[in-house]
Amino acid sequence: MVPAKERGAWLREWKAELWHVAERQRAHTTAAFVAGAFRDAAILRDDLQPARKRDWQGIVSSPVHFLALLFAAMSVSVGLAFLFPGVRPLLLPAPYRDAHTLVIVSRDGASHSANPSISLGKFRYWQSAAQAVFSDLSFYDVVHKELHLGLGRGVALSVIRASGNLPALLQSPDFPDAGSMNALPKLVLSDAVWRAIFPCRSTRDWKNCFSCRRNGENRWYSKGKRMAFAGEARCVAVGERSAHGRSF
Amino acid sequence: MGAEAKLSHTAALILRAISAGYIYGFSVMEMTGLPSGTVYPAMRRLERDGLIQSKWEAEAIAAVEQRPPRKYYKVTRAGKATLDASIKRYPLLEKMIPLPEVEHA
Repeated sequence: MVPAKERGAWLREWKAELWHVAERQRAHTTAAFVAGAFRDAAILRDDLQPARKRDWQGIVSSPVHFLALLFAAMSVSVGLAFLFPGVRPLLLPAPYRDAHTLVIVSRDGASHSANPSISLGKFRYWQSAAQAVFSDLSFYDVVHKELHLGLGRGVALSVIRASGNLPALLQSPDFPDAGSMNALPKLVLSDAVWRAIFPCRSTRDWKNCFSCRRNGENRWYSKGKRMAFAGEARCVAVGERSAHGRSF
Repeated sequence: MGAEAKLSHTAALILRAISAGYIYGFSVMEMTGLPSGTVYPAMRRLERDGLIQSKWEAEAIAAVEQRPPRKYYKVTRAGKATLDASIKRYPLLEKMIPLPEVEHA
């Protein structure tokens, strides 16, 4: 019970006192005296506890010591964080200056991430193509998906996922410049999909139209401008407002 | 007026006993009637607070009497001041443990 540092002196005093008690007292008195030793040991132990607490409070109350303690805790935390495989890449500096706009080159052309990706073969083809110098690089990828419309209905779609700079790279005068486009994702539907999925409707409050498809050809249009081809097509824009459609 | 520590009645009683010449734990127990589990912790705290100080008896003296050396206590100057303040607070201390009469030559 008695801390080791105080044990020797404590035991020596109690042994000496006990000798004198045993000399002069009867057995039951001696037993009561010894019982007091346990209480004394417990109190001595408690008395030494606040000293340890004061030491800890001294460390915390000292700014230098506290900063050192904080730095040590931070170092241990960072060290532990590096052990987690998902956290380590986030803590390390990015290997490329503009890593967020890079296109992932994947071997099989399929990417499991939300970032645009191209196959390694396409990338090498572009590298060896005649137009060796690029001012910019845009990207789109086509995947085939089954869309369930409910009630057992479904439609097979060719979904093109494009990088955000594709409209700007096209430099079409009919297309809104990149500055006027918000950062929200845009969904562009072909006329065939529009007819197949959405109910036919006409509205006059149509404001934005980003792309239309006519006779197998994609066309881009800006706000309110008339389409450059005759016939009938539908455009849809999903972004700042809900989907709008217009018949031409 | 000094800044003497305010003692409990028990602690003041033990301090008075030591001042009166009961200089080891067992004698304080006999004088005050307090159990060992009270006297020894109180004496250690009084020593921690600088009101009393302890000294081990010389081994030679104990060896002559064929007994283990004892730990003796005496009241410090601070302890005397605190005891005086405690007596004002607990006037019965003087009657409970009277000081031994000083023999005059």
